[in-house]
Amino acid sequence: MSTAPKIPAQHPFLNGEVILNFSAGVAETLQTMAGVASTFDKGFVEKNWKSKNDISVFLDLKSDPYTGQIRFHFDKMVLAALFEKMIGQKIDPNSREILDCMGEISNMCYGYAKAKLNEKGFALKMTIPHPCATKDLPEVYSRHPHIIIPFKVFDQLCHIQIIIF
Amino acid sequence: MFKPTTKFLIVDDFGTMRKIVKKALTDLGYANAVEAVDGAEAYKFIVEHAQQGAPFEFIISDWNMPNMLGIDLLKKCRGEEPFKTLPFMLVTAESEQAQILEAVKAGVTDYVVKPFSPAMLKAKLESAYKKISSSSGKAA
Repeated sequence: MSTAPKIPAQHPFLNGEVILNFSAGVAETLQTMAGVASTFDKGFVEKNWKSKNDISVFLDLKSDPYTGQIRFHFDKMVLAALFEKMIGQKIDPNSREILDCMGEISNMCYGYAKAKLNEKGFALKMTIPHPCATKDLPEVYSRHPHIIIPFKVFDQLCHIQIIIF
Repeated sequence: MFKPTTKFLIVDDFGTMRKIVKKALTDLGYANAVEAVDGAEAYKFIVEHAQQGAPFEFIISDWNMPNMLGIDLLKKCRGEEPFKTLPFMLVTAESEQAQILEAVKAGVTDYVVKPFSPAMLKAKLESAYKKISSSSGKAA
C-alpha cells in the first residue's frame, strides 16, 4: 500500500489549471514589470512543507464553498534586484520596502491567475496580500499536503505554495 | 499628448506600485505627480488641491485598496460637479469583464491591467488623451 500523501482529487484548487495559471502569473508579472525571466521546475506535494526563503506573502483563496491559501516565497536579495529592475533604484534588502515589493508582486500574480481562472468558471474572489518575513508566517492547520512549485529567478530558488483547507 | 506640466495623482496602497507609475510618468516627461495611499486620502487631496486653485488634471488609481476602493473613488468623483469630467484611469489586477463594465458604467476614462509595461501605460495615456480631446472638442 502506498504511503504517499493523499490529497482530495475533487478539490478545485488542485486542478492543473490552478497550478499552470499561478505559475504563468509569476512568469508574466516578472517578465512584464522587470524584464526578468523565471524558470519553473517540477512541482511536488509535501505535508507540513516549510519554506527556506527569507520573505513570504500569503493570500486567501476563496471560491465558495472552497477555501485555501496561496503563498509566494522569495529571498530578499531577489526582491531587491527585482525592485531595482522595476524602478531603477537600489533598495535596502532589510527595509520594509522589501515587504511592500513582495506584496505588490503577489497582487499582480494573483490578479493575473484569478482573471484567467475565472474565465474558466473558478469564481475566485478578490483578496489582500499579507507579506511578512517567512519566520513570521502564520501556522497552517490543514490535514492535506501542500502543493509546492519551485522556480528560479536570477538563478535563485523561489516557491509557490498552494494550501487547501 | 498631455502637457508636460499636467498634474497627476497616483493612488495605490503599495508604495512599490506608486513608484513604478511615477517612474513611468517621469520617463514620459511628466514630473508633476503627487501620491496618495488609498481612496480616502486621494479624495481628500483632490478636494484640497482644487480648493487651493491647483487641481489635479489626471487621476491614476489602483482598484483594490483599503479604506476606499478605486472604483468607489471614481464614483465619488463622478458624483460631484467639479470632478465629473476629471480624467480618471484605473490600474487594476482585475481584468474580468464584469469589473471592466462596472468601471465603464461609473465613467472611467480608461483602465490599465497589471502587470503592465511602461509602453502599455504610455499607450493608455495616449488613448485617454484622444478620448478627452474628442469629448471636449479641444486638447487637454
